[in-house]
Amino acid sequence: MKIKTHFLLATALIFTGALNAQLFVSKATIEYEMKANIQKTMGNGSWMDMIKDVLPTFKTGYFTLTFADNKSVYKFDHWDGKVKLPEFLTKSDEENVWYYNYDAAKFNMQKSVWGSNFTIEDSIPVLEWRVTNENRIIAGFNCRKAVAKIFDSVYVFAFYTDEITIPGGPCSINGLPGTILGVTIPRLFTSWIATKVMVNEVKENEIKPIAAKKNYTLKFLKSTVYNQFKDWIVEDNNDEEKQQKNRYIWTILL
Amino acid sequence: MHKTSTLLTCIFFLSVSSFAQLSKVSGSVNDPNENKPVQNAVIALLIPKDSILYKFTRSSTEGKYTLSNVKPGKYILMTTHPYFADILEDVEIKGDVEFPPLALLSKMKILQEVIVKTGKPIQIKGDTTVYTADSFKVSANANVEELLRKLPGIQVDKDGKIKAMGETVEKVLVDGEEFFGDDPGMAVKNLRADAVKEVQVFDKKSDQAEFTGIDDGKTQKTINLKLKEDKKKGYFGKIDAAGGLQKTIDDRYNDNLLFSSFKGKRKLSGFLLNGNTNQDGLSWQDEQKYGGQDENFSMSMDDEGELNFMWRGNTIDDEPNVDPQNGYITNVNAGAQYSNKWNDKRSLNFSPKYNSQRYTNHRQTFSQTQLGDSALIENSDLVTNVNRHNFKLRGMYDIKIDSMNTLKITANSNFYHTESEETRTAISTGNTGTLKNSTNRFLQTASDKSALSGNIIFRHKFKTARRTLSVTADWNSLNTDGTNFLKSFNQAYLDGNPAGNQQLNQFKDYDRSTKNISSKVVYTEPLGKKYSLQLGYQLSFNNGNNDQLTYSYSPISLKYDFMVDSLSNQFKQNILQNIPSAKFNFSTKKLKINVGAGVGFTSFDLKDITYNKDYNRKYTNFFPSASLNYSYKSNRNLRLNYDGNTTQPTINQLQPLRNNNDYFNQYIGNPALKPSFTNSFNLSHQSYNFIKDVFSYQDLQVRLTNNSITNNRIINIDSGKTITQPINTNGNLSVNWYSYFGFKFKKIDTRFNIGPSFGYNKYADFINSTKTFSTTVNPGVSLWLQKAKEKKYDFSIENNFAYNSNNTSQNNTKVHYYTNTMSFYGTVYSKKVWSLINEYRFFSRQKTPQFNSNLNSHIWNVRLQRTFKQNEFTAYFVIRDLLNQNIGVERNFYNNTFIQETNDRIRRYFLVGFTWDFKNKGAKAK
Repeated sequence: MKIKTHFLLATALIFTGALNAQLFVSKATIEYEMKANIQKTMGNGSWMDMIKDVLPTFKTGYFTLTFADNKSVYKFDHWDGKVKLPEFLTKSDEENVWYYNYDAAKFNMQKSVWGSNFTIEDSIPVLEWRVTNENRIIAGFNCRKAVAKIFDSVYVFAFYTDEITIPGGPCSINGLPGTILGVTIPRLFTSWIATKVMVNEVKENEIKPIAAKKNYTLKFLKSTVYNQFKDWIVEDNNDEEKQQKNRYIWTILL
Repeated sequence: MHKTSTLLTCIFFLSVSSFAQLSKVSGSVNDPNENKPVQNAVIALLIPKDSILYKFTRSSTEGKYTLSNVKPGKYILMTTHPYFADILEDVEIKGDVEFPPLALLSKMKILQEVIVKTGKPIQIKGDTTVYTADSFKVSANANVEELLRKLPGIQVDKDGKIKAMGETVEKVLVDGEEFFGDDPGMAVKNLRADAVKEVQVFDKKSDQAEFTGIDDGKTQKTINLKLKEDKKKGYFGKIDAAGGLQKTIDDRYNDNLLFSSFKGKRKLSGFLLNGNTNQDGLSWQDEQKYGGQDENFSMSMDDEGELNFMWRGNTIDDEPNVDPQNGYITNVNAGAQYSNKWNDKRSLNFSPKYNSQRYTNHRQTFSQTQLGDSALIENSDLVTNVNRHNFKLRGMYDIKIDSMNTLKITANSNFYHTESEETRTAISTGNTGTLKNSTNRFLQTASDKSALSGNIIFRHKFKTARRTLSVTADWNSLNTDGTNFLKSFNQAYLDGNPAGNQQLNQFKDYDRSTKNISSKVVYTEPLGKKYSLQLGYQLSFNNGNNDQLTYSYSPISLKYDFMVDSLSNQFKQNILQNIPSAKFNFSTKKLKINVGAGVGFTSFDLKDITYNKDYNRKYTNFFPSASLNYSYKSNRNLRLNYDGNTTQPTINQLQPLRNNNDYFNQYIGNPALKPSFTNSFNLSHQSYNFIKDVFSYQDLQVRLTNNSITNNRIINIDSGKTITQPINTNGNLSVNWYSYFGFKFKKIDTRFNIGPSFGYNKYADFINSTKTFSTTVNPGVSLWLQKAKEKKYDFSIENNFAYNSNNTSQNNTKVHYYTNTMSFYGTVYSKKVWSLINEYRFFSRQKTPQFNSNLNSHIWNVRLQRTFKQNEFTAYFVIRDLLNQNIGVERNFYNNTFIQETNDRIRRYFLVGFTWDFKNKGAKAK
């Protein structure tokens, strides 16, 4: 219901503003619903099976992308309230923050890995997007579909709208001529979909880089992650564990 | 030569110039109806081949745009704007170019009621053709493309283009989701045919029509692949046979047969293990694959999202623990497991297991007990033969009634039949070698035991988040029925001269049973976001019988028909317990506190029917607890824990069954015992840094016991006869500190762990009614390092050093010694199929006045293996204990007594074995 009101507001704005600059959203807060199939991402084994037995299938969380002046902050907002999940499944979602400055082509993110926080600062990597002719409406906005491949082999399916001007999106998925309102990464069993676009009362003071004593580069993060996971040796024929290991790495790098 | 260099120069210049010749593309967009420039239109350049986005920009207020640094070439110029129709143009860019103004055509925007699409599967409407995938045969590893070729009405051409009913398929959905984009080939090439349940072919309305409800008549031929719920179906298993002919000892053999089949959620597995290499049950890895869930483990998640692991030991069947390292064991283990799950709501697990064990051991024990200035030395020799059969049956049924209610029922039964024989000879002397006593004993036992238990857990969640109710009911019973024959000859000495002896030839018939029933209700109430309160009430009732009849052998009747009253008894016991409890939780992201307490009201009634005595006791036990968890930084955590625990005396401590199996070492009860109360404090800190890959952990534990139940040993210094009686005492204290620091040395790619530790233990007991304190101080350090390279090698070295200093107030002597264990583990892999595994352990213990030499042992095991056919077959050669030094000697010091034990060990042996790991194609071992 809320979504509708917001959209009607937006529509009203569009009509009153006719075809002037107000038609485009360049300052707003977008709420995304993230849904991840934790039963599928956790891997197997009798230990994991026992944990799965007491957990729900999905974890559903709400994140916000707040942006103005071609700068944005994406971070956790709240969980869908029904069940509290164990910390090892929620901590990194709650702690991770992404700051992008598209004018300067720089970004800055705080990552939490197994309870350890650190900050990355680098120029924005360019994703190779294949633009398609498919359209779909998300949160009242007409979106065009684009496909990219990240980490060499992981497909990302995104829907972006040119009505919202910042080339951002959830996590580090961005670089399209408009804002991404829907993303699916099948190999991570995770999808993001915008549920609200709020153009009023945007907390602009929250859009700032993460203050940290030390910033690492993306290259450093990658080499650290691969170096640490090198010790997790998977047998040649154990595809399931290989995928599991990859999912860990991708989730850290995303 | 000259020509070439010119050519090279040319190429160089050309490449430089092409590099430098980046173009600037500019232009403008306008709305011809309003005759105004259009702002914010997206102008993008796409690469024609695969429509990859190359560059994009937006038009300014004047409708102008510029794209700079464009490589020359062919592009698609895409212009989009929400209220104008998209324009796609093929352009070629050579040098800076300004495109003529672009007129955008207004697009009618249909603004019906807003529909928010949230990624639900697309509803299939209209005529749909459904193919059931399994009814079309394809080869084992076929992909979906191959399956589609088999379906009538569907053609796949050589380029992978799919046609259904003559029309080109434009979309392939997987479970209604457009995971694979609009390249239909991608889905069908990447998915296995056996993962698909149904292939649905239908005409999908255009997106526009679907969202607005207005049919624009446009349709797309679409295939939806409906996946099977769980594509897992198949079997896997392992056959492993190993044997070795030995010269000096029995031939060693070990055979394993394991099999598992599964179909979706249904799993059926079985195993048969047979051997005499002291393999005790399934290995950890095999347990995972074939054994199903560990029956002693259970897991639950509380309302704060904390996972709780529960481990129930094997205490209920009271079976003595056999260390498989000692003695010789011949084992047959067989088991099966069936589990199934329906609709993710009901699950059933059923597993029968059988074990037959023949165990033989010869143990020599030397013990020295300090008694003031003198000492009591005992040398004994025990030969044990056990033949045991065990049958276990476990069932579990779990129902998720609805999202609010769950019910779990578990039933266990465990039957043992044991026959054993024990021959023991022992000689006790004083420290000067004066003979004190000697014993010869033969004990033959046959017993049947059954342990049954049932458990029901019901959990209810209320509509208010975090408000829950759980009701648990437990029932268990333990029955032991047995007989034994005791033949013993006990000789006492005085000043080295024989002084009376005792000869026994008795038969005992015993029957023990306990039944326990208890139920617990726990209710959790959230008090706002940060607080919650937990209230609980437990009620339990325990009822037991303990009957023992002892008969002496009569040389006249040649039968065991003379009842020995002093060794026959009949006990009955009833214990009723009420435990109300309350717990208060506070939880924020950084700080978690909980404080709680329970009070146990116990009424204890023990009837000695033989002597018509009644022991009635009423205890009030207090169980306070508190914990604090403070994450003061993202990766640093401090935890403080307090537990207060009351332990009430066991029946055996109050009034044990009279037992004369060991004449010179007897145990008697103490009806005046009070419960003991232990305060435990635990302070721990941990930190972790992912970037630096450093982990550290510190832990301090303090335990202080009031009224601790320890023993008073009344030792007759002349005969060496020891009578042990439990007694309450104060002053027991233990302090233990443990720390751990782990990091990786990146330069040499090696992982290190360092763990210093420290322990202080003060233990009070009584010898001849004199309070004695034994104090042990043991600082130590452990070091571990590991270096591995995938498919090349894997090495680790561990060293544990501990220094022990013991002090007993009995004779004010100090004993100190060190122990050190060095282990090396190394595997070298070669050519993907060979591996050589070495395990080496060197244990060293410094000599003490009681033992005149250091105790050293080197254990070295080697395994060489080669795999065939991608690990399907493995041939191996094993040498256990290459140096033949597994002598099984252990030394120990506690309270006032030094003990050295020597057990039988399987010494050096060789095995040649062969393993076949099999599975059907596509099956994945869990």
